[in-house]
Amino acid sequence: MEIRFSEEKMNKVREIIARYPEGKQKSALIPLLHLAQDEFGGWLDVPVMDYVASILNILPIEVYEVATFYTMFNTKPVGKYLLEVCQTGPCMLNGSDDIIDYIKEKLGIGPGETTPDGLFTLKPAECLGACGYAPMMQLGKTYREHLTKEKIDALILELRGAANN
Amino acid sequence: MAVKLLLANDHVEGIRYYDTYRKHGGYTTAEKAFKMSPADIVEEVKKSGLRGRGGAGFPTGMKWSFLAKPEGVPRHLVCNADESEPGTFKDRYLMEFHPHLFIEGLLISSYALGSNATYIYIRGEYAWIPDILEQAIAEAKNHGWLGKNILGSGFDCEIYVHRGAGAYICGEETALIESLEGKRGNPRLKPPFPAIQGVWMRPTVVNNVETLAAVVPIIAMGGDEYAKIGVGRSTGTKLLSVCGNVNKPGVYEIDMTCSVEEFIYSDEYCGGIPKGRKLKACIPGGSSVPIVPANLLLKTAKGETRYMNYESLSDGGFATGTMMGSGGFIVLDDAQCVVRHTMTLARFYTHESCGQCSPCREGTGWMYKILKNIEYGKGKMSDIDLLWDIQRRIEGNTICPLGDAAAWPVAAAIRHFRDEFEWHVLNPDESQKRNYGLAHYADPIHVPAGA
Repeated sequence: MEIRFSEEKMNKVREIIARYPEGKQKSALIPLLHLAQDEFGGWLDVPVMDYVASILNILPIEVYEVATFYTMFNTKPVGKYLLEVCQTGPCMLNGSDDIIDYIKEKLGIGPGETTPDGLFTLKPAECLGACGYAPMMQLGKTYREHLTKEKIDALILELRGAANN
Repeated sequence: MAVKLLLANDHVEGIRYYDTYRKHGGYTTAEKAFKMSPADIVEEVKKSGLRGRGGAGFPTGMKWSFLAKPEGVPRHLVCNADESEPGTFKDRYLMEFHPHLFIEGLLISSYALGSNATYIYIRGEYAWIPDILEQAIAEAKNHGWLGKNILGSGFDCEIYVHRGAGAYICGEETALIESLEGKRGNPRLKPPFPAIQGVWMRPTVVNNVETLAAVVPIIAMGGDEYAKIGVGRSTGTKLLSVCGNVNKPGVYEIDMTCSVEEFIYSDEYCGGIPKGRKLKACIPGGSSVPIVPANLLLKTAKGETRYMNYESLSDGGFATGTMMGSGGFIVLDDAQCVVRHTMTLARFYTHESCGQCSPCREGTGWMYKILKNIEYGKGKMSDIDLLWDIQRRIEGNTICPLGDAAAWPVAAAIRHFRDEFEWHVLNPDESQKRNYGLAHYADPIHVPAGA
């Protein structure tokens, strides 16, 4: 895979950089890493980070240190669907432990592991700001809230279906 | 019926969109503001007594008046929308359902502070909200509320949304500034304060979403009128996000005059505890503030009714009181295990420590390990004192307040629920089975408060 943003994405990159003062283009780093992660397979491989560094005219190490600091940046490959289930206090009070155990059992994977078909990665997460709608998980750009075992069954069926089409 | 200012239009369908918001009086306060001088707006906010709604409760008008204004140096307003304190989801609600109220507050505040480029730093996980905000910003801009020479005032303003990428620490204002500069979220040493040297070394004010939204009703009604709502130094209204074991979790606006008991049991708010269970404990202001048992939550140590405001919640200090904090109201019923809950919070702080200061980096990890041992039946009696000792050595010994925030929940859990920790140590087999074994809490209301 060639690591290069499309012209359309490059327009977005330029628009993002223009939000910050002249010479402060490094401020665009986190937004650009989001863009790169979405574009290049859901995780940030070293060549991807180097590419972002070259766009912003900063050192690769400046990108690595940021990419490894923030939870949302994956520095290892993940499945097509990343199931990030909140396990912090308020979700725990409403049964997130059972939801995590159920997903482990159903998919046969542990925390941080990916199913052999490359579809699902389970990642227990810390508070995602949906405490009143617990238990919940983050899936891509959306939240799935008020989770139950039935909802997990339906979700996995739905995602398997989407992946096959 | 309680006063509603921020959520007054909560029932209006389509209030998320410009036309509906405008029809319901939206942006008339901005019109009023642009006829005032920036200094007058700061004065009104000072008079309102508004206190920062992110958790610290610092007077907003005073924070604004600290902003340095050196000639020829741009200054910035940055909105802290990195809402990540466990139990807190009120800013999400405001941004998702009332984006124009928020944008109007940002606009008026930007004008008051002279910020021509204002940034909203939003937590990365709220990935769908930037689209909502950017749409609202575009609508506002199309109608002349943003951009160049707004309402012929000569004032220019752009608002940009900047997405973070998952770091609780970026809710600390100097870490947020570092992150906005494209770096790791390591808090800075203060001084210099952001008001003197903030983002890109320029004078900066960082305010919470709810704080900036509250500027709209303050300017609309005047600071003095706003200050009449509430009680004492707890003026105006506050958003509470309720979670845990209640019948009606969600976001509520209160005017800080209702009692805690009314807030928990009335149908207007939380609607009581589900499944006929009893109230055991509560963390009323986000995970960092001290947990208190039911008896100390509903009444102060002096036996007076406790109210939902800054002063009343903190009555008794940390020995018998707690804090208003961010308004993340976490309720535990009598089937819940305080040790397990505290363990999840310790895990959270371990995960979120930026690693800059040793007491926090090492201490949070030790606390989590020890709590895990106790919870899973591998604890010793001496571990409880060790935990106490560790939290004491973290508190006050770090650059930013995350250290304190990690220490306080552990300290309060031991202070008020020491017997529960001891129970885990003495009954290792049952604690491993996750049998919380809280039979000794037949009536948690009458558990005596520990030392």
